[in-house]
Amino acid sequence: MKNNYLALVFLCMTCKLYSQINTSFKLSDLQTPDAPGFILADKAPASVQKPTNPKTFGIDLLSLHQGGAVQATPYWFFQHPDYDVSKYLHRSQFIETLNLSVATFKTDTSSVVTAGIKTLLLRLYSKQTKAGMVSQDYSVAGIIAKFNLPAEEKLARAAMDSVAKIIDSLRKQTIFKIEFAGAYLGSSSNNSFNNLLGNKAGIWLNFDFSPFKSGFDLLFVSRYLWSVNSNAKTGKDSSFFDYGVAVSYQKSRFDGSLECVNRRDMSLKKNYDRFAFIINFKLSDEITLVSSLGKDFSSVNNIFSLFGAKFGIGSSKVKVGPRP
Amino acid sequence: MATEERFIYDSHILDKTKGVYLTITIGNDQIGGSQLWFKDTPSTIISSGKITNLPLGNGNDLTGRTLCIKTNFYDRNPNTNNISATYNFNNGSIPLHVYYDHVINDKDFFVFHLEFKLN
Repeated sequence: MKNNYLALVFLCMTCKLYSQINTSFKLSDLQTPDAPGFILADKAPASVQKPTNPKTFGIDLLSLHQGGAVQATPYWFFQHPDYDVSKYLHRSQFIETLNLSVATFKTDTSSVVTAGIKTLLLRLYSKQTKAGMVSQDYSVAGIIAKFNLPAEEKLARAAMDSVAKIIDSLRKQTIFKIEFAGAYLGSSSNNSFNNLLGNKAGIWLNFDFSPFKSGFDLLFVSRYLWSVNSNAKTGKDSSFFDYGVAVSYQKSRFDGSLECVNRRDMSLKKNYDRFAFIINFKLSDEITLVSSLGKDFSSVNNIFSLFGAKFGIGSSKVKVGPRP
Repeated sequence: MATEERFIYDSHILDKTKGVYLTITIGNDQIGGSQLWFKDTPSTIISSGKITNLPLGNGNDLTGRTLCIKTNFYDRNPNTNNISATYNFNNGSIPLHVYYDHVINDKDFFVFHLEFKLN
């Protein structure tokens, strides 16, 4: 509880937020903020992202230039009576993980709105993990069927909570994942939608290779970005190609990653680098602190440090009010 | 955190010339399992757990009996609170019976108590 208050104070000190949150999250979901719009705008703590299970509906709150993002995964708004473990393992993940998002943040001179999309193209498990999931599905069905609910709810809860953890753990044991993402960014100099003008767009692929059950992930990104409606005189009518690598280690409440990204300006034939060290620390099931430190792509004022917090308040709705 | 219950009374018209096999699919990527018995022999559990192609008997022999099914659900999928179960008799002109519902909170339980009158 003390940690929760500390994080609340921390959050209020860094940004003004007023929102409703009704989603819970896990450390593995927390390469925050994971909305593609933040990546496109170089406002995310990490540029090389770990593909995550998208939330059905979620709000990312982070002290990133008073920014926030709303995400939705429409597939899970509807009933899917045939979706069982067999479908999870053998059907394409494209539709079920298709995540749409809108992010917004302010810069010194303008307000920025981004629209993003991301989805898993590929998710590979070892034969052993697949067999484990199918076997788990059979055994858990046998266990839950025998409970006399609601009379034995307490007993059933103890059993099912631990089984659910095993299932979650098995599902995280992918060998290889490929995620596609894209975003479009527009900005307005006077906070008016009428003056919102497209600036930048990008598409990219995130690769996550984790062959060992050691907590280590090897991540790659390949990203193409281009300017929209830019002024050719300023030399901003550019396109860029990013490629990068990151090593991520996750254990218990801690998730750290070290990344290096190279950006090739295709028009100016110049290269820029970004290095960052990112730490997520889970204070509680609801609150995680995020910190990122490193060198950004730009050649001046390029040392950056970002601190923030991510909130998820289970299934209850709460309001995080603005600083008095 | 709670358990909700729903009582469902339905009927299924059998093809009396064929065998009857039951498959129960728990949808929405949730956890679920079922127990089955006939109403006239409540103390004899026919099967328990994941039900796949379970032979219930010949259509002619089952006609007039009532099959009772209890399906327990646990909401493990953090993406949705929807639950559903599909009861496929692999017999008859409309073999599928699909029921939908939802739990209020993540990790809640839900129970379907079904009675299928077999005709």
